Amino acid sequence: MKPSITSGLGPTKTIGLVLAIFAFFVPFFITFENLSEPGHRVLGIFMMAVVLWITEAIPLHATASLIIFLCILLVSDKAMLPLPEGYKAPTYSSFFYSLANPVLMLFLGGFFLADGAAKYKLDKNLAKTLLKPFGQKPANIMLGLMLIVAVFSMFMSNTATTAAFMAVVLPVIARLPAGDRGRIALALCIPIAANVGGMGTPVGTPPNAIALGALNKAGIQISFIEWMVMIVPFMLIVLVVAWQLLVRLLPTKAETYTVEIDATYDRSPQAWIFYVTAAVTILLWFTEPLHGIQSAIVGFLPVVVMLATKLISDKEFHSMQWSVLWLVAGGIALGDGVGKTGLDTWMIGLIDWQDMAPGMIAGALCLVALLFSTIISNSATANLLVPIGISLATSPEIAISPVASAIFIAIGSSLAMALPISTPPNAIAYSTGQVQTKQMALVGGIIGVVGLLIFVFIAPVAWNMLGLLAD
Amino acid sequence: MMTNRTLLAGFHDPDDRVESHMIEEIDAALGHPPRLDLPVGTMIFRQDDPLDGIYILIDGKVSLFQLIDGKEVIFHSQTVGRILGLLALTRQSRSFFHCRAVTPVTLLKISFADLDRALQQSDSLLVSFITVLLRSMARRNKRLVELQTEVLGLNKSLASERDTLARTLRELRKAQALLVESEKMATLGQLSAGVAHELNNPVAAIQRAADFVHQDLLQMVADLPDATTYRAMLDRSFTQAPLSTREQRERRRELATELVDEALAERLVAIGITDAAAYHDLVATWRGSAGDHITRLERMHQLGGALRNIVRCADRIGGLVKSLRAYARADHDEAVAINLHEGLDDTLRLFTNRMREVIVERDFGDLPPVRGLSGELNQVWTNLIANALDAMKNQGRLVIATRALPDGLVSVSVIDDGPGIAPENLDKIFNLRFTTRQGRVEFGLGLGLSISRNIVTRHGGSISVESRPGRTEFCVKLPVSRPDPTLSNQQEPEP
Amino acid sequence: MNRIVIVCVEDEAEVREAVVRDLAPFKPLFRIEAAEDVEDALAVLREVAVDEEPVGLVLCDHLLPGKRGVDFLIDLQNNPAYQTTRKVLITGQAGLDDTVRAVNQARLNHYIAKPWQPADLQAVVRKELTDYVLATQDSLIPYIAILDGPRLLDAIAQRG
Repeated sequence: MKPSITSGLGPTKTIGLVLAIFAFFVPFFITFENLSEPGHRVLGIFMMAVVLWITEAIPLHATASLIIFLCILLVSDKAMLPLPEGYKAPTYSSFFYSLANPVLMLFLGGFFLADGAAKYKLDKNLAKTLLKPFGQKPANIMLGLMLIVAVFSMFMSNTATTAAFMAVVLPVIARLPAGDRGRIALALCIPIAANVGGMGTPVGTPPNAIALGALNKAGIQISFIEWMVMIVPFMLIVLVVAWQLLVRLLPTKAETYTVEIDATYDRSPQAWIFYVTAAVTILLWFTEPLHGIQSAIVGFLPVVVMLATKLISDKEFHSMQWSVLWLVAGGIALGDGVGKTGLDTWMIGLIDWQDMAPGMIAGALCLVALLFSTIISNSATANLLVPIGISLATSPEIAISPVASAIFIAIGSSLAMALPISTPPNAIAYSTGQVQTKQMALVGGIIGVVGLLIFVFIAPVAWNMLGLLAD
Repeated sequence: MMTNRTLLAGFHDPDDRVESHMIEEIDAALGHPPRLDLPVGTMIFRQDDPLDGIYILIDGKVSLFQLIDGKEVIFHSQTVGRILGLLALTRQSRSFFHCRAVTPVTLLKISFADLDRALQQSDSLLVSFITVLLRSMARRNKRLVELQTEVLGLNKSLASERDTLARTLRELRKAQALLVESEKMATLGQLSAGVAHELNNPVAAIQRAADFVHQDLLQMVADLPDATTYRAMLDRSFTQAPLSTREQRERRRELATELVDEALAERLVAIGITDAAAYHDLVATWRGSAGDHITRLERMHQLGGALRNIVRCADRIGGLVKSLRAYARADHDEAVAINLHEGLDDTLRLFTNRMREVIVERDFGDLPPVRGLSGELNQVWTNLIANALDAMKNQGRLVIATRALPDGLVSVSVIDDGPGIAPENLDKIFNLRFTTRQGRVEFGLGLGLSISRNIVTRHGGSISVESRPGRTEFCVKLPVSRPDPTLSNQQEPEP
Repeated sequence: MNRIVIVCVEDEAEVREAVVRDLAPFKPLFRIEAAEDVEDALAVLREVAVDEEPVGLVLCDHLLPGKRGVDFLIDLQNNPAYQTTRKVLITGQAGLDDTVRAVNQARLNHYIAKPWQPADLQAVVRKELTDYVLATQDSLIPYIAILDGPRLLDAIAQRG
């Protein structure tokens, strides 16, 4: 059988680890022109992060913590290696602060709301209520499902939403005869809607938070509702395109679908506390322009309320996806390091951008993000690309807004859904055994490309018209 | 007249002379008092009656008795003597016995006052009276001693009678236990013979059906492209036992290193292709994808293996059925010449489930047929093997050895390597021991061995045991032919 | 690819083949190893340990040559490495005493009586492996189709 390796790592992981160490040390031995000494060091960290995030030799969040640590050791004011004269070293605490970045607090609020929704079955109950108007025709039911999944995915993790709703559609699938293509459509519509829905709010998916965090660092504040106004309309368009695609490419022979959701509204006092907290939080997020309370602060409201009232038990608190927050924090720290050491300008300088149209650049960013995150984690993609994208946008010779640049990368990574490994929701759909890779690649690929075109070429026009990109 | 006779001189006279002398003296002294003539059955006095005198029995017989628990217990009949109311006289009180005439009697009643007067008048009367008195007393005393001896004798015979009874009871119980056991065996025998018979048809059907499927399958495979490969696969999986799991893993490891493809190696070894060269040879003959071919080979292999399992398992059931029928053959018939080895093998087969951890050594010699009842002998083998397995706690080494002995005998030995039988118990193990506990009769080692010995004895053979720790041998010796096969089945009740 | 291992211990080749074949639905994701006695099973466990693959389920016959199935399961339960391993006894012959012992000392998870129906066997294995996967695996997604999908989806939704 396979040879035993004492470290317990598979061959890919071992190779990844060796490569990462190699990548880390390359800039220490090769000097690049126009790149500062600290820039070299961060380049090493960056390349190491690329390898580790692609190979997943160590867990994604472990890479994130390593980035923070190495940034502090190599380029902060408390660096272990001597720093050149004239380099304005960021404080070591600024790297630690990435772990408490307001965007993380916003995301944490999203976690609590999602956990509460799952705990009190609010997701399934609302789905049951909301699905009623869509009747029983297969196409309508599927549209209803996709809209509901997208809405939940805006506030809950894409994975949790997919899992919850896959459980709802599996019985429907089981009632269809074998070979009916409606089975594939149903199994695919859930992850697609979840992935697309994730774009909708800053808390929808980690790349959004990474983009927002990087923009915050660059001094650009985007409110919860502003994000939604910019994204949701186009998100809905993509969703409808996806729906039509599924209905046409994979039509069912069934006359009706019957979706049975086994859930009743929890009317306990605790449930009511949660309903009210969730409603108030979301309302405050939507109305930020009216009261000016930042979404991160609002996001802390459900955290405090649900902990104080013990709606979230200690055990549930411990089992939250803290690793996601660490991953986002690592990305923010990396962006910080890249920006502060001038690595970003050096990297951008490697390519002659002036010959390119802004649309081309935006399209390239989005496409790279899409391709990257088709293979590796969406968050890791955003972590690597967002710092570069934002500095690209802030460099004077390039006519593209940093907001658009960051959003394109976030959206690009959310649009990646061509392969089972692209996102956990796809993996769930694939692992139900109802979908084959080629079908997923076809539908996911088309949606990715169509979504990219819509966001890169149509959205900016609308944003400009509405004055949303005003710096 | 003998007026001056001394007391002791009178003792030498015979009874009747002394007695008649005494009566004469009384008559003389008291002026011939009147005689009382009483018919048979008259109660002369009763126990505890106050007596004011004595009775002199002149003619006839009386008996003295007491009422004990409402029954008349006679103390004196021959030994009454002439004087009645003796004890009352000595005690001057109530009578001690009932007194009844057993023949018509003639009595002389003398009050204590008259007696006293008469005795004072005549010394000669005194002497004869006292002589009679003493002689009566002596006779009665002697009777008492005799009674005592009689009681002792009675007690003794009673005790021996009781022992006999107890022995009989034991024998009866033993006989009953044997009866119950043999009845159980007989019922069980009939039952298993019935079940075995019923199983015969389905087993035969399964065996035939498997055969048909096999033939049809071969026909179908012949029509496929690449028929030879599939045919070979089907044949191999049908005829060859699969590799042991240990060996499979080893081969899989080897093949995986040769082919550098773990999954492929696993699939190939599972279908019995264990070396890379054989695989490459196969691949060379294939058109199309190797994966499809392997899948088809896997099906062939599974089909062949499944058929093989059906056939093997049906054969096993068939064998068991046959053994069961042979074992349980209702034999109320005459003794016939039987092959002991068949019986031993049948019995062993029926113990299969207890012998998973037992190494069985069949050390069978060349035996002539033995005249006997196979069913009964099988019961002997069963008992001996069951005992051995019990002693071995179902693990270890069991030897069944048979030998033809020179003097027209054969021997069958069952040897186990259990802890052995304690020497002090060795001569008791054939005895029937059973205890009753909470109303249930429980049989120990004894019953089976006791039955076995009965059976062997009836076959004119003998059974012996030798035991030390680690080796216990039960040896049954049977005559090859017994001229008079009176192997009557007294123990076997009619169905 | 560290597959979870199912170890099946059965001394009769015909029965063993049948059990292994009935486990075929689990083959795409699980490594199925057969052993003919306890010693062989221990050899399997050693090989599996060398490959660093976790043992998820042991299906064990009771009446085995040498050591009894129940005693093997009890030994496993006392070994820290196999605490989470699910243990199922398949047998037609264990007495009540042995079964009670298995439940109490070996934390026997299930008891399958011979002869078994494939669907029953598969249901038991599916349930036990789902329990095992839920207790030990970070990523539940690959198991949705083969194991208890709704339960796994529920757990994924809960984990967020």
